[in-house]
Amino acid sequence: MRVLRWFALWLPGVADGGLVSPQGIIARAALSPPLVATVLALFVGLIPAIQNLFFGEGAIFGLTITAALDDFGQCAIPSTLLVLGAQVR
Amino acid sequence: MSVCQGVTTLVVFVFTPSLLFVNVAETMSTQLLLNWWPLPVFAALYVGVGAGLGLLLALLTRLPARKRNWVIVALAFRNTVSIPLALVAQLAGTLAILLAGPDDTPQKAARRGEAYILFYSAIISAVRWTLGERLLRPPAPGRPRSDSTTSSSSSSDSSEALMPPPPPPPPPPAPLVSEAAAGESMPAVPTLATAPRRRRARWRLRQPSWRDRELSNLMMLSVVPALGRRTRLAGVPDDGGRGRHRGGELEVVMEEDDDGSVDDDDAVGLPAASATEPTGAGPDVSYLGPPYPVAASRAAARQLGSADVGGVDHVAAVVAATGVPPVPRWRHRLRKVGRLAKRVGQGAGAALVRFVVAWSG
Repeated sequence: MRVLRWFALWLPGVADGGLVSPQGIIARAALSPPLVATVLALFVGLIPAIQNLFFGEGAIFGLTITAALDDFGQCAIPSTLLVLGAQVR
Repeated sequence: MSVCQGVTTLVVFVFTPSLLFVNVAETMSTQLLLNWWPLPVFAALYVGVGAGLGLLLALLTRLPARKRNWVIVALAFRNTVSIPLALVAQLAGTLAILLAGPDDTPQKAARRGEAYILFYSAIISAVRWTLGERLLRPPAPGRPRSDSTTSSSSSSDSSEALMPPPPPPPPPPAPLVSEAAAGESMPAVPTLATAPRRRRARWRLRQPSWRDRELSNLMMLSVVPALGRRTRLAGVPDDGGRGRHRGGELEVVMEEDDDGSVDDDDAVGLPAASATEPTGAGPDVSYLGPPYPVAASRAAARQLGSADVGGVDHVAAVVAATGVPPVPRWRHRLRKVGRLAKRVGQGAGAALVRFVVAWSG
């Protein structure tokens, strides 16, 4: 019960940080690409019809969008390692 | 440094989202989401444990609020994306134990591990951008928080310094995920964000005031009355310090000096200066002539509460005169009952002894 009350007290507190308007929400969400990517990935992955458009044999976007995103994604780990290594002194 | 920032920008804005999208969207399914229920649970658990440890540490070291929030955030949100991804990518090629079966390839194993990590970090980041941002908001409102180097305090600025300002709590992408996130991690947020402030006020040590010291003195004196000041109460007949007197409602314990005499220095604050003593608005207790501040001892007596005959002023007067609060009436009754019980017990014991002796003899 106490947790629920805290939660009820906390929600408007989050909302007061400029998140009330939908423009604010969209603007803030657009500024966090990993979160947007996660939400999009869940949206795509949980609907098999959309998932089949991107992944699998003979997918429509398989050789264009998915392949490009895959190549970009494969850059993530080496470049992160590069940055981490550059910071270690 | 500018090269680092450029690469970081690329990583944050392009590479990591695409990696996340491809991995999660490819391996995700409803059944998998049901199988992966420990991931959000453990995410919430680890965040909670880290925040609790940070809070404990900050309370033990009495950090100010701003640094305390930093400690909490640094312990609650560890590196959950960059280093685990790199580790999995390397370990999947070398450790055969990570393969699921004979037809599994290291590439598939790496994919699976990346999907686990990214899903886990998605849950973590949802909490991070709400709770963590809220904890860090007062010192630096729009300051981006580093993702990959929070636990190593040295380079918190540089790794993902271009990490943008925090997004809102995530919109529910699917009913399962929103339920998991709301059920596991969200209710812990307000307590963690607001609890330190309350608890700090309780933990802070106050400078003891005169009244506090007097109160503790009174407490100790009521427990150990022999430590009371050697005073002589005005108007009480002096019997050489050997007995107890009950003058009116007062009970005064007289004590002897080391040389066995009751001197003049035993009497503290006899009513010589009583005419000039300001006694406040209460009844006139100046006949006791206390060297004590009357108002303070009155407040202390009021806090003692259970003292004798009505009126805190009486108690205050007794305290001021003797240094010992008057014995409460219920304690008198208890003593009477105790004395009676002692007599009865002695009699009963004697009777029992007689009985046994008579029967054995």
